[in-house]
Amino acid sequence: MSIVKMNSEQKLIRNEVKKFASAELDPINSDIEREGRVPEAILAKTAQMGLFGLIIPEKYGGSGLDGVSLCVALEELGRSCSSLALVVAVNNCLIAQPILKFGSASMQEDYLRRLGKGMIGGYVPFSEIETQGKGFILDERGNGRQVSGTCDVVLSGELAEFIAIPVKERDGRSLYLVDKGQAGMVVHPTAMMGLRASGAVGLGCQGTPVIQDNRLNPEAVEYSLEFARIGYSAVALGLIRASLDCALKYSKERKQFGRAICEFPMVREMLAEIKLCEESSRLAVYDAASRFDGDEDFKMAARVACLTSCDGAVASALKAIQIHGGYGYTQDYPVERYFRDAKSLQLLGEVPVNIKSRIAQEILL
Amino acid sequence: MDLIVCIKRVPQTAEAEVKIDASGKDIVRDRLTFDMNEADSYALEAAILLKEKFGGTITAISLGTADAEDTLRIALAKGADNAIRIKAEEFAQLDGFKTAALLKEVIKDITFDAIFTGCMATDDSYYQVGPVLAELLGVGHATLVSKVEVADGKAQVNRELEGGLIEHLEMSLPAVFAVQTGINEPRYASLIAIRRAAGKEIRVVGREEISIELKSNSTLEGLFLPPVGKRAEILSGSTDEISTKAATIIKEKGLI
Repeated sequence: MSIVKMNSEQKLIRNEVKKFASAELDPINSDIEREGRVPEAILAKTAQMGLFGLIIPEKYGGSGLDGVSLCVALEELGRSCSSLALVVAVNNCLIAQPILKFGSASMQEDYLRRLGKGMIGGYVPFSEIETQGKGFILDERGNGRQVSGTCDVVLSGELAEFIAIPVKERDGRSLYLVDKGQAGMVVHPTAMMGLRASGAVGLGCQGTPVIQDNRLNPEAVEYSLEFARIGYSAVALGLIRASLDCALKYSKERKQFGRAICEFPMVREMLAEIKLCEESSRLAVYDAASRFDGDEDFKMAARVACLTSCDGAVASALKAIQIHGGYGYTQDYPVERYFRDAKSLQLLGEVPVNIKSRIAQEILL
Repeated sequence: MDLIVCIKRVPQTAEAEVKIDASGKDIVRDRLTFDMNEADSYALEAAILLKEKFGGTITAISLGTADAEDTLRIALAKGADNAIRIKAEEFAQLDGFKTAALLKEVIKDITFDAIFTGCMATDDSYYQVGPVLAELLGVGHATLVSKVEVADGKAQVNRELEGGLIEHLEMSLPAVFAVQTGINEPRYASLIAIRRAAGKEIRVVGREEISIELKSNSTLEGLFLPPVGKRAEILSGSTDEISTKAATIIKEKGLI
């Protein structure tokens, strides 16, 4: 028996999300990619199912589910539309969970209720700020507090009603939750290599007012970053499955020298290697999620899951492209999209070398 | 209104590779996924819409093995109030008639205004359960139902016929409606409703409660895949040549 065990509730959730993804997302995947947006009707159904507030307790109108259930949903969504899966992951891991664990009572009452109803929050990935040398600064002079600065990527920003803006402080980065449309705030289009329908935008703030009640401290931010690795890795696991499904189908159909190409040893080896990625990622993802649910220290498991799964998704998509030959490079098949989505996912959370550095730092202690 | 919905859990074979098992009378089920029969999900939605309008209860019933309880829980999550599973494992060689007879034995003790079934099950395609169940219960029925509205104790029912024709019926209740696919938009169960449904009790009935002798006039002799036909012929030449060849072949085959 596999060590990854699902209870009956989690199995039902997997089936229902899979049904939703197969019926609503699979038929229009290429349209979603081309237009760079998930249709409103699909976002509404995603909200009605309670996916955006999956981890939020019932008392705030959320689904009140655990980390394993979140990963089950993200895996199924990631397999069909990783852009939408990313929006769900960001909402639950980077927005809702830190508010739930560290937010003030008023912040919880306000934001968790809105998120529980299906509202989407935007998030600035730190890697983006660090690599670009950009960011936001807090000005406490004069009346109240204001933030100013720019960044090129706000995840879910186009779909969001508010954005979590990171501000560098002495002991790390804090987050200020700011409703869109506040004074001095400007969002602008941004183009990404993959995850093109995830609603990423650029953001500029000039003297945008923020309040202390809507601040999440650096501890909350660090915690949510570690938790988000589990979410990203579940989306990546879905992408690995998508790559494998495509590669299997094509390799059985495509004939070369009178045989299906799945009969050639080099193709078989690549198929086996993608399967290896899938199974190792599954173990890592659900181990990390189970540790989160068990209130254990999940940080190391989350880093391992993220590296295994996100790197695995990139490698698997490349192998799937290779199996498709020249067709794999065209947009006639989805495998090139899987590669672009996987690469984006790999870099959005924190670049792999930094995650490895964190792992090394901990094991060297 | 008190409504009953009959639900079957079936293998999803539309895009799967279907293989026949060693007995020659069933398919290999190991690698298939299972879900609510498509037409049954429309039947359930039709019942939920009536319940939302008139109030009352919905009882979902499935004749199936223990796995069918997952399908019943989804029905509970979508809006059913009660669920009953009839233990399929205790009854051999079930066909459309036997299925209807078993459903009748459970339903006869329940007060109902209408019963909804799918017009067919995608695994055996008998199209029998709805009409046979209605006959056994002594109530009216309509098949291939594309619309059901209820007013003043009567049901206004549309049936979808060949050639795009719609037949309109006024029916007294109680009645059985065997619902066509596509008549509404079945909702997805919300995650919180699934969570609540996961803990709900499902009544399970078997041989102890149902002691009838089941007889059927037909026996399943075997399943087989149709023989593979000749390979497709690719026509070559100019557009005129191809169209002439195509027209000749079609005439030779007597298709026009």
